[in-house]
Amino acid sequence: MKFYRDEIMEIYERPSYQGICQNPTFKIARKNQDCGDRIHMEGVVSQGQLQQIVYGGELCVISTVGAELVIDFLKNKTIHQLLFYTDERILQELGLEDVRQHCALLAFHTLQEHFRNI
Amino acid sequence: MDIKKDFPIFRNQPHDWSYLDSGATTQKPKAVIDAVRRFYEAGNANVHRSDYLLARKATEAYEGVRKKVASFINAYSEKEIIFTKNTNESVNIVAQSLRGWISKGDVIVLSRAEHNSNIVPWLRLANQVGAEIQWLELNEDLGGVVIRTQDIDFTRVAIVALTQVSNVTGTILPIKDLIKMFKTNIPKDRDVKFAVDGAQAVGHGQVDMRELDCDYYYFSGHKMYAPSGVGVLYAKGGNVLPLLVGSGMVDDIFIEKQDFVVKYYPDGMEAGTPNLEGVYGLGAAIDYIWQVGWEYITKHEMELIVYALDKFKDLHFQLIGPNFSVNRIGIFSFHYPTIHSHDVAQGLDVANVAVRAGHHCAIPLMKYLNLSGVTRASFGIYTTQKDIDHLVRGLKDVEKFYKV
Repeated sequence: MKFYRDEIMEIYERPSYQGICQNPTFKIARKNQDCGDRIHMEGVVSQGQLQQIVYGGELCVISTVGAELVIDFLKNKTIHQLLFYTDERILQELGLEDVRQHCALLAFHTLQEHFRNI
Repeated sequence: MDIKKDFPIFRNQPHDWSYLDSGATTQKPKAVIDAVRRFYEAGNANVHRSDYLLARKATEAYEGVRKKVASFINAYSEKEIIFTKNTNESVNIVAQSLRGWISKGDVIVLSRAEHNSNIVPWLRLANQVGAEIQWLELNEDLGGVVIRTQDIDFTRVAIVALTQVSNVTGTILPIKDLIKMFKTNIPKDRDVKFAVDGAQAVGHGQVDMRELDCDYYYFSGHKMYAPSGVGVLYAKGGNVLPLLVGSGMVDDIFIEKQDFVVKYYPDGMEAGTPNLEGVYGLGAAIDYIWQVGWEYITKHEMELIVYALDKFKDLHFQLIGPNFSVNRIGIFSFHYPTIHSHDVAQGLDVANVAVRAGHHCAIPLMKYLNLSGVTRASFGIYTTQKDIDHLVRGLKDVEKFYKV
């Protein structure tokens, strides 16, 4: 039996953006309030542009894949763009409309809230 | 006995659906659903207010459930029973009632197995008055708590608030013995209050207030086949103060003195129109439990526990709780080091097995276990061996998918 689509499992098994950043300009930690998962993210913002983002933490398949895909999507976009994306748009862009949304959007919400509050 | 046929939800779900999340909330028997409907269709009027026949009958029915609850938990009097919204509200009432009674430097004892609802109201009280919280740690097999004199300063203990059953490990704490132990070790001149969280215990076996000898006991209706939104607070001798004030609970108001007088207990504890249909449904749930009988309920659950522990031997998870069948209820939490609890639950959901994953509102316990979450299967009166087989089959598929 398959619990998640093959594409999802492929990304989960071979993540590209896990790790730490040499000289980060931002560092965030957040908990998924529904389940207690923890994510930490860091990266480099230069001239209002998201140039590098990495992440780590205790994460399920969906929150891992959500982080991978959203980082891929947001790379080189501006903070201004990040703040104006809606949940629906992000889920659509990532192709994750059919999975647990609070997990799929954990990384996105972590980034969006951080930059909304500074 | 075919219990499942008493619960309409099973007719409205896929035929192979296994509900193993009764620790979160139980399903409701037709008798309870019918009672709620009957109340609205034939008995609805506000209680303790109007004096026409239907209103008198509604009040009688409401007060009748109070008597029934007293008998259900073997309280001394129905005057010791207060209807609340849920366990969590009950804990808040007790904690805030004791605010003027506890002093700075006093100790509140909690166990590591507590649900957040029996922690946070005490944390707030402790911070309000400058009291200290001391913790009873779990023993190694998670089958009970250890009492270490270095953890507990018996000369300062004022309140002991413990859960009767852990909602994560399923462990039944020996509350009666623990209360006795505290009473033996605490200096005789100290008046200590004992509060017991019965949320996970009430649907699983007879609880007895006279035997436990606690001051407060609280539970929710929805974990014992009653509707949600109705809970119970037992307070020995009526030793609590209202948390909410307003209508229904006030006896008189004095404009000149800018003051009011509260009604006699327990009416003075229930401000506003209560959850009438919920209380009525709670009465029907008690009748249902009595009709099935404690003997069947406890024997059936014990058989399931023994069966489950045997079947679990084929699986590769780490059981988070006692791996023996005594002093525990049918709650089994487990952990796979390489699979996240949500992914396990998702796999089981695909197989039509409903379980819960995450921290289970027991954050200090999760920190103690050094886990961010576990997957939990919890049993109810309607759970069968077939459900356990279904769970095991589902978990084998999960293990295969994640190559465990």
